[in-house]
Amino acid sequence: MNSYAFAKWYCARTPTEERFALALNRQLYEQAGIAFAAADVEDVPPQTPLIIKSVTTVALQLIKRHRNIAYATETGRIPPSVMLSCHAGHAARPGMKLAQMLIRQARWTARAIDDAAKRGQLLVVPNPEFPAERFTDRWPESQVQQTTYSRHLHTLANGLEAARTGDVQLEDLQEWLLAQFGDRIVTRSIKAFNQRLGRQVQSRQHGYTRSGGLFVPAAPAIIGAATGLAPVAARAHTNMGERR
Amino acid sequence: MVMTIDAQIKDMASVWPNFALVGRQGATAAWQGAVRPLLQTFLVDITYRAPLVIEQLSVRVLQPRVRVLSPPLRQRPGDPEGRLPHVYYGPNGEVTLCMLDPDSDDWSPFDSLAQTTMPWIIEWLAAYEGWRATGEWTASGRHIEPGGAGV
Repeated sequence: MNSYAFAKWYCARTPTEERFALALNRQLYEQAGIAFAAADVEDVPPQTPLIIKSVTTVALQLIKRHRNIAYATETGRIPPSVMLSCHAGHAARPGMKLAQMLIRQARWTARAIDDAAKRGQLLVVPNPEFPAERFTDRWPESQVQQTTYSRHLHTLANGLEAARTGDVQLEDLQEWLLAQFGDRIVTRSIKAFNQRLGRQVQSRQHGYTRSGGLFVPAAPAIIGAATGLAPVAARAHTNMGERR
Repeated sequence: MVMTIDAQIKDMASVWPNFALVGRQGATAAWQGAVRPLLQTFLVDITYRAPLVIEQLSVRVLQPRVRVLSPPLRQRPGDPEGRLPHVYYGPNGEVTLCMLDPDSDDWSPFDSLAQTTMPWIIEWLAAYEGWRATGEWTASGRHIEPGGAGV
């Protein structure tokens, strides 16, 4: 396999997204006990290289994790990582949010499979740098195999879209995400989200949308400068109540 | 100066136009509307009676009554925070949110519901969703214990 050329192709299509990379990598290093307080990516000390640089790559990792969970009990071949990486490279669009990119990658592969299936063919994904090479030479082996995976991906994308636009409680979303991505990553993420939310609310680093939403900026910001917010600056208060 | 019910109604309509005035009788008003702190939409009812200037009632009695109409709040018996965190239970088991310390300066009838109660409802519901998902209440909080002491 011409993996070097493919890796270069992937990197060229997924440039470093500075704000995202800095925020994510700061978390990763803090978890490892390494702290840095850089304002910009350029200021990150050389001994702390950025591990993950783009939304596309994080979404790709989640797509692979989703595949691993979906095929946890499978004994045969499963959708190959290199095929998913290739589709991620094609789908890359710097600046997208993580959920949007995850939906985009899931749909990208699912639609490629659906198109092939409509023609009665199996999915073919060539190496973009060496088209004679096929990343799909061992998988899929049958229509059933490829359409099963397409359904998994559509279910994932549908669920994520429903969570963004519909009504779902955090605990129900957590249950659904557990089924898609497994326990460790989901529980840790929701717990971290809840704690960050609490910290920001208690330190009054938040606002309210006019439709009754809680607005918590990802990075410290002047709340009043955000548009579409209710003209409210609630002061600190103490939730009381009985404990029964 | 104590805010009259007319002033409260005007303020609510200005800041939270999606909340409808659903009842008005004398100095008492009720509003209903939807909020969506995170991803779930909650239908909420606020009932409040503005006191007369000469009344000397405690905040505990005067505070606005806030009920979640739908979806029903999910209880978790045996939780250290209580089966529902930071609520009051009425004589018939009805649940109202408790978002202020009546013995502190959190709130008084001088305050606008639009500037206090409404944002506190949003914060309470976000903390409630986090508590349901993780078991951890991350907003502010103190409990009224039997005998009157808060912890």
